[in-house]
Amino acid sequence: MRDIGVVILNEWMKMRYRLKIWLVFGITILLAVGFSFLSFYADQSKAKEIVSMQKDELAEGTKKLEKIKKSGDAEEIKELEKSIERTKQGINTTDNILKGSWKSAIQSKLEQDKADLKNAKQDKKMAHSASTSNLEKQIAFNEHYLKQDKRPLLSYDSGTFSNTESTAYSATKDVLGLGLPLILPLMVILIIADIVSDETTRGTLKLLLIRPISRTKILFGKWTAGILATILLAVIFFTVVLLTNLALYGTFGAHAPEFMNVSFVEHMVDKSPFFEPQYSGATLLPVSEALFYGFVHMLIVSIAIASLTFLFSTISASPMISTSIPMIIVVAGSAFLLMSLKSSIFKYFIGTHLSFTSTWLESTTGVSSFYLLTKSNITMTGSIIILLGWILIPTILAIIHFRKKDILNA
Amino acid sequence: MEVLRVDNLTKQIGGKTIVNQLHMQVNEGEVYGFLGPNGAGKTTTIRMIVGLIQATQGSVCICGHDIRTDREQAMKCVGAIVENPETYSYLSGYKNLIHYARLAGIPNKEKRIQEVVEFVKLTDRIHDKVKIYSLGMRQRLGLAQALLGKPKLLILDEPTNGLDPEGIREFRGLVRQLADQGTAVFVSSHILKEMEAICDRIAIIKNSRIITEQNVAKVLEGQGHKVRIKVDEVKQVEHLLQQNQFSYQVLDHHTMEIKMDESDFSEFIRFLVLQNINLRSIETVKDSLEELFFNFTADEEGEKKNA
Repeated sequence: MRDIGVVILNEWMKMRYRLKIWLVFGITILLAVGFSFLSFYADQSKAKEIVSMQKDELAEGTKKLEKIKKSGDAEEIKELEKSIERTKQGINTTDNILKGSWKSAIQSKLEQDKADLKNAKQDKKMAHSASTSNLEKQIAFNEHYLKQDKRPLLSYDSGTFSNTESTAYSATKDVLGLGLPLILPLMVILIIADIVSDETTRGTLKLLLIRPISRTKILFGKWTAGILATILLAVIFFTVVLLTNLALYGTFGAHAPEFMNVSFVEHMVDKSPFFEPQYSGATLLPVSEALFYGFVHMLIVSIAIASLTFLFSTISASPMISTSIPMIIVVAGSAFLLMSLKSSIFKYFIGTHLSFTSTWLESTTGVSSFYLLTKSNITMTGSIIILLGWILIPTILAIIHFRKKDILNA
Repeated sequence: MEVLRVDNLTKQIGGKTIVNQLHMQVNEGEVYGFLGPNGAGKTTTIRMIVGLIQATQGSVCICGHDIRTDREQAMKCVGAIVENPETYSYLSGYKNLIHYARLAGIPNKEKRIQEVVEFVKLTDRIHDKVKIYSLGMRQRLGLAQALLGKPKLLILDEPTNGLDPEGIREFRGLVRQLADQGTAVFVSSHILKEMEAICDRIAIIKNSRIITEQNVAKVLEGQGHKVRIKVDEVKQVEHLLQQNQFSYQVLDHHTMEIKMDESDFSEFIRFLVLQNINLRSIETVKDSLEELFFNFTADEEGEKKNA
C-alpha cells in the first residue's frame, strides 16, 4: 500500500506542475458557467414567463373571439371559448399556487384525473395513449406535492405544448444533459490520455520502472491518481453548474418530482409506432435526489472513460492515438443516440451511457434516446453495472499488458 | 564480492538475435567497461539487466537477487542511467529527485538529496526547472537520481554523451571516487579512449556477442613498450637494428618506432650513441586500447572470412 501511495503522490505532483491540467480544469469551469448562463437566458419557462404567457394567451384569445363573433361560425366560437376557459383556469391555478392556497385545487384536480384515468383504462382505444400516460404522470406528481406539502411548479398548458416552471435543479439537469455526453468525457480524456504515453515519449518511463516497486503497483498507482483527478474534475463540473444555476434561479424547487427508471413499451397506433412510458414500474423522487444519483452516475461514467483512455495510453506510445481513439468513441456514442438503429448490441457500448438524461432519468423530450437506439430499457443500476465493466476490463487489460511489456523505445 | 552476474543472457526479437549468450561478472569497487559500436546490443543488454526488457534466455543476478524472481530486492541495489537521462522537464531538478527518492523508499530523503546534489555539483541550480538545464546539467541530474539509493551497482549508459572535455574529466573523477568507495560501476560506451581512462576491465561486444574481456592494466602492460626516436636519417639506424634483430617500424625519414622491454631502454640509448647516431629525440610510446580493439575486430573479420 505504501508503494501505491508513493506513486499516487508522485503522479499528483507531476499533474500539478503541468499547464495542460490547469487549462483543462479552467476550461471546464468556464464551460460550466457559460452553458448555465446561456441556457438561463434562453429559458422561456421561468416562473414569471409562465405567468405572462398565460396572460398573453388570454388577451389574444379574447381579441380573437371578438373578431370571430362578428363573422365566424358557431363551432369555431365554441372551440375558442373552451380554450379561453382553460386559460382562465390555468391563470387561476397559478394565482392559487403563488398565493399558497393550492392544496384544495390540486386535491380536486387529483380526483378528477383519477376518474379520467379509470375511464381511459376501460376504453380500449384510450388505454394506451399519450394522454393516458400523461394522466398517470400528473396523478403521481400531484400526489407527490401533497405528500411533500410544498407547492407544485407552475405550468402552462396551451393544448399543443406544455411548459413547466424551471428551477435551479431542472436547469442543472438540462445543462448536464447537454454537457455530459461530450464536454466532461472530452476533458477527462485530455487529462488521462498522456498519463502513460507521455512518459514513453519523453523517455522518463524507463527511469520510473527501474525502482524497487513492481510495475503493477506503478501502473495501478498511476491509474488511481488519474481517477482521483477525474473525480475532482467531475465534482467541480457538477458543483459549478449547480451553484451557477442556484445563483441564477434561486433555491426553490428541490422537492419537485422527477421520474427515473421509466421503461417504454412500443404500440402501433394507426400503423405508426408509439412508445408508451410505464410509470407504474418507475421510481418517483424529488429532483434534488435524482440529481444526486445523476451525479453518482456521472462520476462512474467519467471513471469508465478515464479507464478506457488509460488503457490506450498504456498500449500506445503516441498521445495522439491515446487521445483520439477515446474521443472517437465518445463522439460516436453521442451520434448513435441521435439515430434509431434499434440494435440491442449498443446497450453495452460505453458511448451510449454517457448522459443520465438519455438513459435512466426521464428526459423532457419524451421517449429516451437510449431506448430508441437499443430498443431496450435500462435502469440506473443496469447502466452502472455496464459502466463498471468498462472500468474493470480496460484497467485489468492495461495492467496485464504493462506487466510483460518490453520497454524498447522509451 | 560479486555485485553483478550475467549468465548466458540472450534476447531475440522477431527471430532476430539482438544479444547472444552474454556472460559477465562485475565486482565491488570495480569499473567495468562495456564497449562496442552502436547497434552492437549494449543498450538492450543494459535494459535486460535493469528489468526493462525480459531476457529470452539466461539470467541476471544483482547482489545475489535474480532479476526475474526477486526483482524488487535486486532493484534496491541498482542505480542507473539508461541512454539519455530524461527527467521531467516541467519539474525542478529537486522535485525530480523527490520523485525518485519516494519511489526508492529512501529514509530522510531531503538530507540524501542534498548529499547527492553536492556530489554532482548541482546545488546552485537544483531548484530551477529542468527545462532550462544544459545537457551537462541534465547528465549530472541523471547521475544524482542514480545515486539516491546508495546503489551497490551503478549502471551508466553512454554517460559522457554531450559532455564537454572539462565535463568528461570531472565525470571520470566522480566515477573513480564512487568505485573507491566500493560501488561497482558498469559503464557502456562506444568511445574507446573513454574506457581506457576509467575502466578496470572491459568487455568488447560486437554483433550481439562479447568477443573479448580484458583487464585494462594488464592489456596495456602486456602489449610491451615501444620507443620512438627521431634521427637525421632512419637509413643509418635501420641496418644496425636489422643486425641486432630488433623489430621496428619506420614512420617517416626521421622517425621510427622500435619494440623493446622497458629494462633495455638505457642500454639502447648507449648503443646508439656509441654508433655515432645523432639522436634528436627519444620517447616511450604505449599501445592504446584502440589498437587492441582493432586487432580483435580484425581477427574476428579474418576468422569469418576464413570460415
